[in-house]
Amino acid sequence: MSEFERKPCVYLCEGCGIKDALDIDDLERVATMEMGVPEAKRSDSFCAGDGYETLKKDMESGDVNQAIIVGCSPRVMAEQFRELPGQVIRANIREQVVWTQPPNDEDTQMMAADNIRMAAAQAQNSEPPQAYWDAASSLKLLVVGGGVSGLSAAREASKTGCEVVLVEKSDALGGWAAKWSKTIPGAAPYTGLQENGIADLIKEVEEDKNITVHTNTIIGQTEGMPGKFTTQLVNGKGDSWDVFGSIIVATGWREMDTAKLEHLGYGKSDDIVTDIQFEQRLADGNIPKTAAIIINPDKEIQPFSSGVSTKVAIKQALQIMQADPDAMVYVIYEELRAHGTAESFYREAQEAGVVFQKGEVKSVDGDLTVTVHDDLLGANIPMTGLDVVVITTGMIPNSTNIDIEAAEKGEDQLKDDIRPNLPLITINGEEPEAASDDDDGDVMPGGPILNLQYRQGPHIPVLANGFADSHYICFPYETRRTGIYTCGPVRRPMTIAEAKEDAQGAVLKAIQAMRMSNQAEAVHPRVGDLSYPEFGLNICTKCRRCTVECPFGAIDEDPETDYPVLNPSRCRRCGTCMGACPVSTISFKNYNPQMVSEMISAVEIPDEFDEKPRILVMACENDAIPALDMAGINRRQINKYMRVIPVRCLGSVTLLWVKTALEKGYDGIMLMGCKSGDDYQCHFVKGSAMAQERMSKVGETLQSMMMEEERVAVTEIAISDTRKIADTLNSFGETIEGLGLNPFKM
Amino acid sequence: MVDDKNKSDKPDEVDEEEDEFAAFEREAKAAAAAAAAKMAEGKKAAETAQASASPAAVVEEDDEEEDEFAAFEREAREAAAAAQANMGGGASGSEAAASTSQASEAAAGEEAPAGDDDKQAAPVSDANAEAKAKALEKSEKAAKKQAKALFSDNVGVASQTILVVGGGIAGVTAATEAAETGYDVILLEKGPALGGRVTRLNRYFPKLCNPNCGLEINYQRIRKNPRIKVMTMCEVAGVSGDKGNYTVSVSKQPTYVNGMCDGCGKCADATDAKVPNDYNYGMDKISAAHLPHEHAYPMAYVVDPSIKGSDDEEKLVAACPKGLIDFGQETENFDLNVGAIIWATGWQPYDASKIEVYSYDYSPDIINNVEMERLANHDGPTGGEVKRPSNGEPAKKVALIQCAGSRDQNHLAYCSMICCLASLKHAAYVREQYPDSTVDIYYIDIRAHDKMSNFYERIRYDENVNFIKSKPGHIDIGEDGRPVLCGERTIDREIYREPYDLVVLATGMEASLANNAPEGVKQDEYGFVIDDGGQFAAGTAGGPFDVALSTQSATAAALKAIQAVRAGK
Repeated sequence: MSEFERKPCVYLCEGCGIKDALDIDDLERVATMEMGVPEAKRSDSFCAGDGYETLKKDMESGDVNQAIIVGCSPRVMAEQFRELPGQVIRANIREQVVWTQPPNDEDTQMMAADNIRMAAAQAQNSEPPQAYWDAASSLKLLVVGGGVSGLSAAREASKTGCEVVLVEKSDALGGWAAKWSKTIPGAAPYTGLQENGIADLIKEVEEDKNITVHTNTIIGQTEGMPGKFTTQLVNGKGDSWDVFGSIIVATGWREMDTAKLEHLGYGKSDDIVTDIQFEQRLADGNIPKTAAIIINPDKEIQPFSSGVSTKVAIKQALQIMQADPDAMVYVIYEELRAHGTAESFYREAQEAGVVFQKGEVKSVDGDLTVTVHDDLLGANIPMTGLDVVVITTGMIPNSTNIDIEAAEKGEDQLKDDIRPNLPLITINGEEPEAASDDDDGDVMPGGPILNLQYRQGPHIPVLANGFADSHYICFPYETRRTGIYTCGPVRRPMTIAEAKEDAQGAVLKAIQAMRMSNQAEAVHPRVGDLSYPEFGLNICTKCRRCTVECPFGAIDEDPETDYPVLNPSRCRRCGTCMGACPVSTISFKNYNPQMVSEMISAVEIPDEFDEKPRILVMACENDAIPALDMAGINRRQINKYMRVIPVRCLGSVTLLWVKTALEKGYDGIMLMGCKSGDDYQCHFVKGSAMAQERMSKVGETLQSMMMEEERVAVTEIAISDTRKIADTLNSFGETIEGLGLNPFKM
Repeated sequence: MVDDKNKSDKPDEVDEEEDEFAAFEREAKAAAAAAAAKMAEGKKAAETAQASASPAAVVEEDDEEEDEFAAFEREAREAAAAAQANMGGGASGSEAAASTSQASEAAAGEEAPAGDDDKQAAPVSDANAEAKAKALEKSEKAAKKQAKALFSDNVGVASQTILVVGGGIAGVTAATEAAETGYDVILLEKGPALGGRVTRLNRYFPKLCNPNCGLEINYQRIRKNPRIKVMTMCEVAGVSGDKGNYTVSVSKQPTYVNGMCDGCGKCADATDAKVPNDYNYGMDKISAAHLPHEHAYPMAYVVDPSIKGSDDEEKLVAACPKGLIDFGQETENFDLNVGAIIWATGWQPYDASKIEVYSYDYSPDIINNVEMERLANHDGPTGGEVKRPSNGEPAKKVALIQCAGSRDQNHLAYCSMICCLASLKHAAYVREQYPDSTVDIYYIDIRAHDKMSNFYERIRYDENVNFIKSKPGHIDIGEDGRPVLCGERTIDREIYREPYDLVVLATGMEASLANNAPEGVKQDEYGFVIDDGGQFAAGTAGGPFDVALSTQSATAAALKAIQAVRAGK
């Protein structure tokens, strides 16, 4: 788009054993004479010393704006090169070549030369990305939900200098906590009942000049993208529109269906109550003389109760004991999930005289007789004379608004993403059989919270059991809707103290997203990336694959023309759209179909008489490429015919590249991406799954070219597969050699 | 409360209005130029697309050949519209749309830069469009002031710098999150590489994925971010001062490698000396000059102090092509001035030797849970095969003992939270490797916290994993050298005496600072760090957490630290 005048220069590093293993003169000839790069410079190191000074001077003076550094992996010395003005392109001949191949060997030399050819082709077909905008329009935060999580988020954001609009659908702030009194201790020494402090928190929010509160209000719809979410606030008095930089969803939790408690006697008596109902009694000062609190062991309930219900049981038991030290309280459990520091709280209850009874509840009768199978005695023990029986329940995440009907069946319904209950252990490499087949994911009732006006529907996608997140171990705040974060029990079951801290984390991410969007930079995981996909509408066939396959819902369709419309700050820059596009008309300034095609074509394909096959490896740069680097660090020998191109995500790989490679005369192609499906590891969530699906159709193409299907393989490689990656490439090499050369070779 | 904020922004407002038309013109020109470039690019792509024989592509291409100029015109129009829709936030902003519906309006009313795009809209959306436009306009005017209130963007100001102590998952998370929000961060790590406890884990529960996968992303974030300064081999000796003005005394241990090691590995080739491999908890040996491990960040070699003064000293100095090896390095002591401190010092496994009845010191086949992680890991001492350390035979009958040290007033009074889940994971390691193996888990309660009950159920599905409610009384060493678990089953009161190939003690989580905290840190009775308004805990420095809770707490700690240093803004 811009008129970028390329001034490339090749910097050939001779250090780290490179010059002992390779003919550097030959490499220089390839770079300059063959690939037409005007100049190649050599040094024992371009990462430090004179070499680095030369490189820096070249780029700062403007003589060079594309430095093609031929040496180590881009995972090394990136800090040195990041400050250089202009594009830095790395050709890895250390980890990938010198460390995995025998020195001074013809094939080693050819591999290094090809890596330089590919880097030169990369430079010729790429240019520095530019920001898509100067500044977004909003740095204001929308918080949805006025319970503890939402109130805390609003306050924390305000304390950080952020303007906030807080929306609550009911007529009052405070959520569940406002109806209750005491809370579970959340700080050292983790004992003692504390006031939940909700009244103070509400007061703080109401008096905060940075916070505007709208009660009786829901979100009508949300358009736009981070830095520019245009949101309709709907209440009885009339609708209004406001613009936000990012959004925190803190919609909390709701009661579970009490029908699931009937086997524990629920419904037989007014004094058989849920822990939620009992909480109200305690707040009202209605204290029983004798009580049994049953920690519901139902495994269906567990994901929604976590350990919170155990802590609630302990808390309620303590509340009774404190009000009346002569009371009798039994806590009946099968597993006591008082994890972490709650152990102290548990001990406190024991010391206060609460009786903890392990055993299975056999029955609860209308006259409040609880029959427990005492595991220790091996007998059924009836408990009688109880004033109340309390059953703990789960916290169902409000990932939907239960008060609104879902608009229509199908797309608008929110489904679980993965199947949580499959057996886990893979024995002898065999996948275990599914426990049941109806694991299609449950449809959650209710309408969308934000009603996102996205091509991919109005909801924030959820994982198992309806909790909205994606990479919940390493990056717990990431959702699949950029600039929208969840906190509190909508994300996972948690106590009041945990929710308050969770709100702090979500606020940080929300402010950070606004900052990044304001600067037109990508957020996690390609943090700071300025590149974004551009659509060549002249040959777009409106096939909608890009809008459908984007893992983050970044692309909409223009309702008038049907052409794709990018919402750039929603985009995470993975390139899945580019891989999806059947006519290869989606491109990034520094990563595009043509660039990779040219890289593929730049490799010198020996003719059939040389009997040297070529294997194209397109590998995910986040996991497979580091694994390959580490194979090099361990000096593992790898197939000498492989030629490696790192890709942003396997999802960005287009069939065109595969076809180009086969036509060009490559003998085999291997695609390496992250684990897909349940428990996916793909950093872009769906990228590798999309790639696998696309490539499942490549067989037809191969057949039409009269070639064996085995020539194209897709493998899942984790970052820890530093041994397996070498084995995989080596055995694939053998397979290809067994098949013989590509008949299309020139 | 919000509405009165625009008054002070008057000058900007005028500027913006004046500029709007000019900006539109500029944008339209740029879009036209872009369209021309696209045209050329598109032709090339079309040629390639022909090869891929998509019928739709062929049709489109025919169109193009029929009337190139018309196509050019159409494309220029569309590009202009797309430019507006895509980049609406730019200088002109208010009308160029952020939304799908507005994009369509912009496309339909291409000639209208401002306000005229509502001609064919229905009355309701008409009102909406107007309201949205107004909201966007208002928001743009407020943006500058909002930015000023939110971000400091100062670089190199000590009082606004955040010190993160500890480079494990919590420290790395806190550092990247704070830096990406626009604050300077110094990240101290006492070892030679980041990654802490988690980089030595084989897999995370419940996804059974490798920790380096997430760490790699975090290292990429660090590599890109000039606001983060990583300092390895550094420990904090003491802290003085107050929020906004801390003086932190640091001591840095020598690695005998100066400056910018490029990881070439020549030094390792130059010595045959071996030292216990700290990365594998000393379960094997490694060259005295070594990379801390294959995924080490920074990727820099270190030389073991035992080489200093030995015959290999000169050989190593000569071997380094960059001349970086320097045995003159001494421990360095220096001060750092910072505005806030995040303690992300993590945890250590409770010393199993202290639980004497479990005979940890008396059999190599009785190991703790972090050693089990190394045993199962591809770059561990056995290359990932779970073998008996005593004789290298496959460990096919394995006992996992819960609460080894935790929930015990004589040891750690609290529950360490992760051990149950870690043991479930260990059961998976063994079962996956040996189809004929059995795993017995001895437990008090299985505390599958968070969303982990599914994980528990998924492991229970395997018939060869047995759950035995019992806290073993003691471990004998059998005549064949195998550990023998002795105790009573809680439920049926059966006395057992069961030999195993391997016993894994699920040792609890002790705060790293439990016994050696630097002066000036506030701690609870167990040694976990307590927030004090300027110093904060992230991850397991603050309590027993799993990784998901650690990263969450680290993100929260980043916000708390930012709030603390903002006071000096």
